[in-house]
Amino acid sequence: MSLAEFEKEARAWLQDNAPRSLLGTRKGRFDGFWGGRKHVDSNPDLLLWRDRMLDRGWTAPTWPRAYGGGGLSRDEAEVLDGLLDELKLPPPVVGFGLTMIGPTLLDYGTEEQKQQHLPPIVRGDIRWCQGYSEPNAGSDLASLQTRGVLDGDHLVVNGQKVWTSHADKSDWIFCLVRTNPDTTKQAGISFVLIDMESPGVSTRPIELISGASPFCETFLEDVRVPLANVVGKLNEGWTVAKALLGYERSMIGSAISGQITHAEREIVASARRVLDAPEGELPDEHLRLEIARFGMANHYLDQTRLRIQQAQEAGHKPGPESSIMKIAGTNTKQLRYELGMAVAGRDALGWEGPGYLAEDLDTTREYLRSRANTIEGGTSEVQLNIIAKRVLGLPSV
Amino acid sequence: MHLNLNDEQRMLARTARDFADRHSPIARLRASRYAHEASDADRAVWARYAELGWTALHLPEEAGGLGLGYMDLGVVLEALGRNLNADALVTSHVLGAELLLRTVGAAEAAPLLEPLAAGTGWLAVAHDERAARGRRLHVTARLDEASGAPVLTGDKLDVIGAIDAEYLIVSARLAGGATDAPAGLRLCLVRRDAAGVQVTPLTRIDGRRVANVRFERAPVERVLAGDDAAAAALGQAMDRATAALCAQMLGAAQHAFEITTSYLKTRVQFGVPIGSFQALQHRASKLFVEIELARTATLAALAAIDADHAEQSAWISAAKAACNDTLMHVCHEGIQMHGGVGVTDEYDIGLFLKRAHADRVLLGDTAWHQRRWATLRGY
Repeated sequence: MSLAEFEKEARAWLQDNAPRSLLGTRKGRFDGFWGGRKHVDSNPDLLLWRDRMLDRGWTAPTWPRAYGGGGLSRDEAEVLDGLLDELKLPPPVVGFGLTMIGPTLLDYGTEEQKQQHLPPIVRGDIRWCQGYSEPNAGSDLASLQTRGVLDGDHLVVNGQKVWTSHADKSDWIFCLVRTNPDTTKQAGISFVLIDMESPGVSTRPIELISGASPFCETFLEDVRVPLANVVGKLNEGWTVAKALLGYERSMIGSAISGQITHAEREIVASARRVLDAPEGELPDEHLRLEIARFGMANHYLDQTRLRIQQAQEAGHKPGPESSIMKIAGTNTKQLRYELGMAVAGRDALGWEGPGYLAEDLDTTREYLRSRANTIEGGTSEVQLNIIAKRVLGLPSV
Repeated sequence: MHLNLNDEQRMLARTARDFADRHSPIARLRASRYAHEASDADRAVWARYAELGWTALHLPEEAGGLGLGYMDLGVVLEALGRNLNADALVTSHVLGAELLLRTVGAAEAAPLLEPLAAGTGWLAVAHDERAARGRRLHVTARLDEASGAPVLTGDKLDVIGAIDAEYLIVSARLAGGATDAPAGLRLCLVRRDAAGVQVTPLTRIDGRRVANVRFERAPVERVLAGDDAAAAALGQAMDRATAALCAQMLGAAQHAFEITTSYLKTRVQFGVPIGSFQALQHRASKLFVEIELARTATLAALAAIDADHAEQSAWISAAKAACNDTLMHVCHEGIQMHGGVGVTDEYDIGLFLKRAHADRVLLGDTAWHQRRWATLRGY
């Protein structure tokens, strides 16, 4: 089937099978059915949508059919993604299973691990979170202290993880643990999968300046993990960990470019409201040019994503491009909300209603949340280190 | 639209890079930067451009060209831009040629374009005036058709290639009416050696061969277009020239950056290469990201022209804004990271800064392009 035929067929199928209540509701790549054992459902149409897409393998379009994926080429998956955006349909399943641990298991997992974990991810039955950072291991990730001690065919894990996104709502956690303390920093680390129902796992949400609590602290006390849950070899998890970070950076970059597609229009609408200028040239020249600067930045980001993607499809190996996307993407997103705050002025000072418009309250919370964008998933400074070392070849001290 | 070069374009890039390093190095700019007369060496370089097909690359086949696209032209201009090439390719072969093609058409333009394609002739576009500040239709020069044969009177600034060109394309207005509207606008062909044409060469920081031109009842060979047609031709030709200029600026930014990073690797202070200091590494990495975004913007603009994309004007403005700011930033940072030697004439980095200023003024500064972007987007 040609790409054009695929597009025609897929569009017709989506129009016939997407629940009508969901058409036009898409907000972003991470707004949809997160699933998991703790999922409490409010909208039965989301489940129906998941089921129908699942039948075609389209909750994980590029994954092999053997694990419940769609077996689509990257080009076809891109077409499908474009159609979902065009019809404003939410993704049928979202989460770190699909974007982070799944691709990592496809590359590094054993056949048993793939068969155990990939189908539940595809179905949205199991929700995953990431156990990387610790209170004393942020940018210096390899200094992590969580210990895994061998006991027969199990590891006994003790330690504390932090910034574990949505840990309180998740079922499994992929964790970095130190299994050999007597070696160089990166060498003694293992990549392990832990069922959060295991005795000794507990979580506590962290309230952020935005008022939301997407992140948690996760505590591990004498948690027994079967050795079969180690991905890659024992003590050799750092390679797996780095590969996953690459997927994480791409995820953040693409999630952001999805979120800000319509941002220029939203800011213009807000400026028109504030300036009482329903049409024509915006009367505030400074704001007008700042919005144009943002619109252009958004265009650079969009086209750069496309350029990198085209290069990768032509067989060019993914390299430090994900660092470019992480830096440019997070800068652009922060610019968007800085501008949103500047445009809204006093209207952006509300914490909750009444007296404030929902979109202004939303802008304020999103602005506060966006300050974390250049910190999470590898700080901008870490990305700049990566570029200096791997692209520019600048000398180490 | 493809934003990556294909195999042929990559080969063209290698050829052009090799050519620029051998026949048009920065030393060529240094040798000619304050000279008003073209040298035999310059004629030889133009003959080589013609041999390689670069003078005819993007011109239509009916007018003796090769009929290739702006992506291809961009590949050549980027390579030449690396070494601060000061030849009038963009203003003569893109702006001038496109103006002719878009007013009189390929068949009638052919006799004038053939010398361009052969590398033996040039066009100069005399359009900018003192108070224009980027307003594309701001023209006060007068075209007088009342007394028989049309004659042109006015002052034009910063005409690139006026010293060498056989013909000038000059914008003027009929008497009466506003100075910024399409109505009354005329594009005129004037012989460079006609009576009443006075060319005053300028010595500029960037080393381009530029002149102010005064017209005093200069005879007009032909009125090429008027009113809306003239305004549309100017808009389209300037857009294409802007995208072509972006490719040159991108090459300059890339080379200025490479010069700077190689300095960071070799300059030793406190017993270590200064490029090992994180303060400098991060600044260099930020420049790298900025250049990659400007590269995307430029490729998107060139590809949009070839695809006749509906948003090409906005994308061209986005590219020029990115290249203006990026080239300037790379040069300022480059000089700072060079330290004292960065402000000496012996080091090349200062030449890049001077070009950055000249290119920013040419075909619209950043604010101008932001305003146009906003207008095109309906705000």
